[in-house]
Amino acid sequence: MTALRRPPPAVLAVAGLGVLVFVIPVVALLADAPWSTLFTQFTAPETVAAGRVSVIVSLAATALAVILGVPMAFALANMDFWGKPIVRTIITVPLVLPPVVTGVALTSAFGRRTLFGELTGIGLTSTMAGAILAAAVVATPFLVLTVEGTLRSTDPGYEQLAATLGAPPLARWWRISLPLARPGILAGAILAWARALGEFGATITFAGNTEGSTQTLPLEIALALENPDTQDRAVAVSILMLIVSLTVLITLRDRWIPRR
Amino acid sequence: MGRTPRRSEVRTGRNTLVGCSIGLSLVLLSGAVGCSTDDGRRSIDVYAASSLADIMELVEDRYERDNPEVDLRMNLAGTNALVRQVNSGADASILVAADASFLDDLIYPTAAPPIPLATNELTLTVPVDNPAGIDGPEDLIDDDVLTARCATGVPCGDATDDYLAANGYAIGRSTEEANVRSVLTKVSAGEVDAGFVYRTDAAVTDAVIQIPLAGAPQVTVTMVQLDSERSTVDLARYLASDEVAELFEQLDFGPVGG
Repeated sequence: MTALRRPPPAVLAVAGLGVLVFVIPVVALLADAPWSTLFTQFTAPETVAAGRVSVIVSLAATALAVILGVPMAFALANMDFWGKPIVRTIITVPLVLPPVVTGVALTSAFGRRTLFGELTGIGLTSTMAGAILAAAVVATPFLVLTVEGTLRSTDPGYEQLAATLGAPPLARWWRISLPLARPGILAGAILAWARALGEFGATITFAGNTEGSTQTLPLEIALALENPDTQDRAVAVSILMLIVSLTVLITLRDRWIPRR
Repeated sequence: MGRTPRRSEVRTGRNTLVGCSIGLSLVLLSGAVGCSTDDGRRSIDVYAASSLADIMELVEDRYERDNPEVDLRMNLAGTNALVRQVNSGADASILVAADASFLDDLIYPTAAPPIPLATNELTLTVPVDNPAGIDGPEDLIDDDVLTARCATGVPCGDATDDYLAANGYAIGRSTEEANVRSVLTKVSAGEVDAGFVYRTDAAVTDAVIQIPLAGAPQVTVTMVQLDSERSTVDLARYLASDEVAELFEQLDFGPVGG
């Protein structure tokens, strides 16, 4: 951090403006909070049920993102193969697609009236598995891109040394490559979890809005907004999500991602 | 894996910059276009309930054909959402609600008393092949049956709540939707076993079968005028005309007071 690198005042002014854009809505939300009934709202049966679904769905989606995403990131970062640009584009397309479109695509693939649906008898519509799949699909690209970025900047020397010493490929990957990618995997997992927790569009389109199995906190907020009598709950649950997200992001960031 | 950045990577950096400035100018451009009234026509913002999607399309076509200087801009959503938007300052000229009761929540001053246009009623629909073999609302309690319904607070959701409570029925497993057309879509796509919609919604697609409900709750489609602009008054008069009443009838809506 030399004085020379300090941004000029004009740039800082715009940066300050940018910070305001993020701070104002949060402050406004807190100002709108029904403070006197906040705790009652947090412990309302609907909120507890949606909170439980959110925890299970977001953690399961993150696990799925890590299990599927890490191998994909290794293949994309360290291999050249035919069709690689196409594969990478398809994996990252949920980043730019409206989540509703992802939901429509998932319904076409795993809905009740598909081959998959006929084989399983019900498909994944309105099941928690469907909600997990929807969240995993939108969250995995964050993990893949993060891990791929880390892999590109790791030193191949360790793997070469291990190969020279006769370590077989799988052992080499498990003992050397994977631990080297650890910071990227952890950072990617946090991003993926955050995206999965906030997921709305693909879930409501594909998995529906069933209390106790697919109704996550964001879906509960949207539902509470529909009813004039539950406006307070919508704000309260929004604040709950804000608190949880901030707490997790702040604690995990300091612990898992090394500071420069 | 060379340590020096390859030529393509260097170029990507600049392409991103170019892409951003193009994106930014597009945003500015569209903003500028949006500010001016396109092709000089006067636009009237009409907020209408989702269940009125088809009738409003007909109204828009006819009215714009007969009044080429006017551009009707439709905003379709659940009535409760429309009321919320108007209350928070949305610039609507006319609001057509699925049911009159929701206009009580309107805190925005109206320019004229509400006018009832037509009636509608709740009905149960199942996909055309009726996969769960539903014969009536009593079958919905089964936990293997998935029912789509409007959320409480949406007109069709409140009607559903009233109906279930008044007749002592319950739903086993349900998915709650924000407006009646989302329910219809889920039923016609066969993603649910049954769904509560209005009679007129059920009539727009061959992919669902209607199971009429005894003592089904009625709703009254009601229009309210939110400003006194000349063009708004003209449109309101048209909406309350016999011509539109006939359109309502063609689409299977019931007559007011009938």
